[in-house]
Amino acid sequence: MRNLVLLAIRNGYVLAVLALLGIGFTMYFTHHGAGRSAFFRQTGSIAGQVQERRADWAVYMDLDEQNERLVGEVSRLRIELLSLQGRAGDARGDRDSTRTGLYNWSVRSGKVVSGPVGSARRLWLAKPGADAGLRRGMGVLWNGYALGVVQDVSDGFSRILPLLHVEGGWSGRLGRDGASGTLSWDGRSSDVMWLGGVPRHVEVVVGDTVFSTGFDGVFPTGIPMGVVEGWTGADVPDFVDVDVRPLVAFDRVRFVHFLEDLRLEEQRDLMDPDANPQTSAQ
Amino acid sequence: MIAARIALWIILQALIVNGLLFFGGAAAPQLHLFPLLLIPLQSNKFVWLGGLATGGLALDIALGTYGLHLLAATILAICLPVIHGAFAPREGYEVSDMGTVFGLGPRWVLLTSFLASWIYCTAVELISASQFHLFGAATLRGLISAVTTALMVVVLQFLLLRRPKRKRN
Repeated sequence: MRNLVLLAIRNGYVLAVLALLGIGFTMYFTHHGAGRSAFFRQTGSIAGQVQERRADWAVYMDLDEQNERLVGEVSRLRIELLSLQGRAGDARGDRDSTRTGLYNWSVRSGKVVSGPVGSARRLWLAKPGADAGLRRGMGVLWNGYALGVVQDVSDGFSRILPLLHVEGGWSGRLGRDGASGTLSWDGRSSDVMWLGGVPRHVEVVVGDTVFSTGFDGVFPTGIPMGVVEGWTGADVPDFVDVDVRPLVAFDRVRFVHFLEDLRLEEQRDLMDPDANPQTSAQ
Repeated sequence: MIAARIALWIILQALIVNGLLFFGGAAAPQLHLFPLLLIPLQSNKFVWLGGLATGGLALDIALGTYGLHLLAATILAICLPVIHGAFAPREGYEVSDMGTVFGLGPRWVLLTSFLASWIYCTAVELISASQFHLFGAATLRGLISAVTTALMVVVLQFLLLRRPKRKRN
């Protein structure tokens, strides 16, 4: 308080001038309607221009948020489309309908919190976590493309093992009906993955899409994973390694979808009858 | 004495000078600045600020132009020390120096009066105009008013102030 008083005393002249100017302007605009209206008409146009610029700037600054919402919406719609394709095929009695849809899969939205690109052994962090029903083993999609699998969950976050991780191995297929193999990454270039275990007699066509097989229970059948770029002879004489460019733009991933196979328990029970004797009895 | 002089000139300005048309209304001299510019040069800046603000406020009350002259006088009070400093003699002002034609000379009075009244009159005109498209005319009117005021201040000083008596040896 004392310092405040000292400051006021030290700057008394400036304060007095400001006070007099304030009093003067207040008196003038209080008593002069014409002056007041003229002043505000002039300043109003300037203020209007400033406000307009400010509004433009605010919209510009808000574009990022709007874009984020749109990206999330597009991502959601793509997932919805996949789901509808599956349902439509099922309704038509198409026996291959389960290959191209998310029928019997539940989908939850999420957002990547940190996703280091180009690091061979780094895992990604995303929201939400166990609180939203996420659990280990759920597949993760970005814009309808395979991105990774949930490796672990906390209450609010989930840890994702992305396709680009040297420890990952993903079941993929050349085209919708081609040979299947294991898609993996050697940690060198983020543009090239390898689909190993493809028999040498299989015709590999550059530009073909590699889809998920659905064998691992992480992704449903027919989720696009990458595009064939070429192939090289493998160490094993009867097999070749197919170069696959992943479809996910890993450096642009923000919104993701988590997939859960609603019939996974049923499949597991069937595969492991000892774990649930009641199911096997039926 | 100074306060009474200021009050008298404010009354004169409000009752007579303000009603006169100079150059067909192109100028509005502010003769109440005459006593205000006679405040001793070595006075504290608060004295200048207080004197000018009081004078401006009094004129506002007399003319019903609430705030107009107070604002102009405050602006002038800010600028006046700068004007005085710009025209100060090399050795500075003496305590006994008065801003009169007999003290510091007609040239000093004319220049300082012109600059002071130019600031004051321009402020009055610009604030009165309040519109950008009138600012050019207001500035010109302020300039003519300032020239008129400065000339009248010099003439009034010659007419009304007494020449100091020379000391006999």
